[in-house]
Parts: sequence; C-alpha cells; structure tokens
Amino acid sequence: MDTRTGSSRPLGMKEGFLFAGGLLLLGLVLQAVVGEVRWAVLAWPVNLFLLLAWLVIILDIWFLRRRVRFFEWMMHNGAGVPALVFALVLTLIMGLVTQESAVVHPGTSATMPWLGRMLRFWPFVLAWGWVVLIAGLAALNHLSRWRVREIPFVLNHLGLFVAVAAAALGAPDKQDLKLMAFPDTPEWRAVDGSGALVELDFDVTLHKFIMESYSDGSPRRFASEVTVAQRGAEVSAGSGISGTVEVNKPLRYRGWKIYQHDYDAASGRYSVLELVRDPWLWAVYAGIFMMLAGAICLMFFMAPKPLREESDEGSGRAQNDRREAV
Amino acid sequence: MTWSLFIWFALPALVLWILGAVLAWKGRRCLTWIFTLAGIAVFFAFILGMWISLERPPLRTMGETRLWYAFFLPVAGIIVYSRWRYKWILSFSTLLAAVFILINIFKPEIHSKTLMPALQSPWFAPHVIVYMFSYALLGAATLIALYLLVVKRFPVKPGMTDGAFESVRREMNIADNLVYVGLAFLTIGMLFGALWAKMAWGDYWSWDPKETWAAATWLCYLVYIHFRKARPRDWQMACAVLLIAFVCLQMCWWGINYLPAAQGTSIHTY
Repeated sequence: MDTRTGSSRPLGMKEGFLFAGGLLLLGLVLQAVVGEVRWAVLAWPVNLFLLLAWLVIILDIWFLRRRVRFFEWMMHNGAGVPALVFALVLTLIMGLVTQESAVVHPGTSATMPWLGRMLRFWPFVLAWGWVVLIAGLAALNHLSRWRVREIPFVLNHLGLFVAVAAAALGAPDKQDLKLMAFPDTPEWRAVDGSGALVELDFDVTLHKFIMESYSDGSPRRFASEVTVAQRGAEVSAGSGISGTVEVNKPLRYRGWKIYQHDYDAASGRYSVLELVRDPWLWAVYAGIFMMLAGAICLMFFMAPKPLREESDEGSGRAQNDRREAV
Repeated sequence: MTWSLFIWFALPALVLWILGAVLAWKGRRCLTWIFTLAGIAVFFAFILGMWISLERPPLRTMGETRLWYAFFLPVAGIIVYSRWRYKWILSFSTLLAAVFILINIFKPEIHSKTLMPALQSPWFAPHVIVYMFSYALLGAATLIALYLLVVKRFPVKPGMTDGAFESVRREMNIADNLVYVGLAFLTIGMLFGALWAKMAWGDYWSWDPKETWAAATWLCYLVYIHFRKARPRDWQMACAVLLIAFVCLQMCWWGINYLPAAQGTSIHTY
C-alpha cells in the first residue's frame, strides 16, 4: 500500500462507509462460520496479551502514518464519522430488539438468535472496536504534538479508549456471585451467573436483617449486618470485618464488593448478597474520569467561538469579526 | 407544598417569562434579564417547596422531571441570550417551557413521598439534574435545526454555494455551541449514572434498555460534532442528524416506557 501511487485525492467519508460495510460483512461471515463472540475465551491472561498486541498495532499504525495513506486516514473524521454511524446503527438495533441477557422476567417473548444477543454479535463488537481503535489513534496523534491545547482532545478520546477497552477486555475476569445468607450461619458457597457453585475462601455471616417500610408498605430500607472473615479464622484475630450492607452502600472486603441484592420477601428469613470482584475496574474508572475532565473541557475550551448578533450598542463587534476555525 | 399549588407558581412564572421574551424583542436587555430571572425564581420556589415537603428531590416521576425541564429551558434561554444576544431564543424557550407546564397542569402525576432504596443516593440529584439541563440545551439545538430545515429552507443541492451557507452560519454556530455544552452535560450525566450504578447494582454499565438508548443518543451527538468538522458546509445533513439525535433522546427519556423491546427488562422503571 504505497502512498505515492494513485490519485492525490485524500481518502474521505465515502471510503469510511465502504470500510464500515466491509467490517459488517466480515462480522456476518464470522458470526456464520465461527459462531457468536465467546468473551470467556478472553479471560486472564489472554486479555492482557490481546491488549498488548492491540497497543503494539496502534503504535505501528501511528509510526507508519506518513508512509501508508490508509493509516493516516484512520485517525481522522473521514474514518471516524462512518465508524460512529456504524456503531450507532447497531446500538439502535440493540435498543429495538429485546435482549436475552436483559430478560429478568420469565415469560418474556423469545429473542432473535443474532440480534437478541447483541453483545456477542460480531458486527456489533467489530463496530465498537473500530470506533475505539480510531479514538485511540486520534488520541495518540494529538498526544504526540505535546501541546497544552491538545489536552481536551486527548482526554476525550483517550478516556473513551481506556474505558471501553478495559470494560470489554476485563469483562471475562469479572466475578459476580449471589450468596444466600441465613442468620448466624457462616456461608462460603455462592452461585455465579450460569448457576455454578463457587466456593469462596472467606465466610459471610449474617447477624441481622433490617427491613423498614413506608406507611404504604413499600420498602424504604433493607440492610444486612454481616461479618466477613477468612474461612476458619477467628474474627477476633483481625482477619475479618463487620459492617452493614445496604442498597447503595456496598461493603468492601479484599478486592470484593458486597451488595445488598435481594431478601426473602415472604418472611425475611434470609438475605441475598451479591459479591462482585472486577480486577479491571481501576482502568475503567481511569477512563471515566478522563472523560469527565474531557466533558468539562468540551464545554469551556472545545466549543466554537460564539458569533454574536449585531447588538444595539454595537458592543462586541470584535467578536463578530472573529471566524471560528473549521 | 403540593401539586395543587403548582398553578399558582407556574402561571406567574410563565407570565414573567413571556414578558421577558417580549422585552427581548424590544431590545430592553436589562428588563429582559429581570423578568426572566424573576420567573425562574418563582418557578424554583415551587421546586424547592416540593423538595422540602416530599423530603426528597422531586426527580422521580415523569411529572417531576418535566418540572426541571420547564425550569432549565428559561435558564438555558437566558444563558444563550446573554452570550449571543439572540432576540428569539427566549420566545422559543418560553414556548417549550409552557408546553411542559401545561402538560403538568392538565396531566399531573401526583405521587407519594416514598423513594425506593435504589434511588436513595447522593448521586440521584446530580445525575438527573445534569441530564435535564442537557436535554434543555439539546432541545434548543433541535429547534434551531427545525427552524433552518423548515422555515429557512433552501433548494437542496449537494454542492451548496458559499452564499447559502453564509446565511445560516450564525444559526449553525449557535447550534454547535448548544450541542457542545449539551453533549458535555450528557456525558457527565451518563458517567455519573455509571458511577452510581456501580454503587447500587454492582456494575457500571449493564446495557439495560435505558443505558442502550443513552449510548445511542450519545453516539448521535458525537456523529454531529465530527460530521460538522468533516463537512462544515453541509448544514442540512447536520440538521438532520440533530433531529435523529433528538428522537433517540426522547426514546431514552420516556419512549422506552412504551417500547415493546424494553418491556419488563429495564431496571430503570420506577
């Protein structure tokens, strides 16, 4: 792929839509041939190697950007706008088709085989991957200019890259378990999303389940007083913690967060706790906080300069003549 | 404070806003400010009263979020007015606010003061207020797009002449500004939601129907911003994107309550 051959016309949005169409076709072929995306395959350490490989590819593309016209094009709007439209269309379809994973009520109508499992649908994954790849490249491109005024752009694009990459690659490492706690009974067995039993290396003991209601009977507060301690160890030895778990107030224990999930509505005999461990959370949060800072910048530094209407006093004329850079 | 008193606050506020909008046309800037801000103060007094008597922020029901929307429209209007001196913006924002006030008067949703445990969080107020402010700004941007496409329409040709673009340059500049600030608030609202979801449900993003539509809305406005940079003169396509984005926003805000695909699956139903 040599840049000097062919016309000097830069690659634009038309090529971007063609490329997105190609990705869609590739995704459909993959879906038909190898089946849906199996995220579990990416579990540690595969996701680490994939991330490293991805970073190496991004750096290579960036280094070769002057030599390969396609790579230069990849970090600009000609590729970016169609990529966003591609991801948008698939996200809209996801919003219009009942998703299997989201079905919580039995009896909800059966879902479509491909579009009803959108998170495992190859075109959807490729579309978001393409958006995030372009965002990462654009961030690197602007970062390399090493200017203060590039900070807002880098925060927004790198933030999206970090948050989505960490969330997607880290998803298979996330543990999400449900534990049924009966009063004064140490419990170390929990159930994962697929219904498999998982034995923990710590005990959760429910001391008291607290239930408060409004006058109309609807729940106002439910909470569990628990002790969490290493299995077999004495609580007094200092290995464990005691606390109250309630909605919006999870309890932390050695990388786990313990949430109040459900309770025995009939007689209040037990409390269902949700135990979540997400080793990639810090990276997702890093991306989220970059995007939050980027949003503030979007407001104050990235919005185009306002062009004022002619005012009666003639003030602000200077601004009138200022042209925004496009 | 109860909903039965709403009319006694909403109508005086509306009258003050209408006076402010009229004075803006007459070029009386100082009086425009005074009347519009007085209307905002009267309206906010009702919100504050509801907040105190409900013992929770009035953000839970559709009627309550319409309250904030009607409040933020004149706020966004007066900000735009003081920044760009647009005489018509306050008429637009007052008209829209009037629609939301009238809906609340004729279709009030009176609710008890119960607040389910998931909503008892310090994230609740910032999440919804930031979203409502964003909706107000993006709603104003949609009005500009509609105005350009319907009222000020030009012969649709792929190769727009510079002269034709020049005549909409100011309107597109204000639409751009509204979208940049609106998207910033939309992003903050979405990410506050993610941080809250982690506290409440154990996961920052679970592709719940409301979240899916929030992502689609967010992507739409990203398309607008990037498209404006790629094709600055193709304002008709840009305006069309704004209209599509606003449809997504409505779907996210209340449309999913009626969408078959989202029935019984959303944890965002209260």
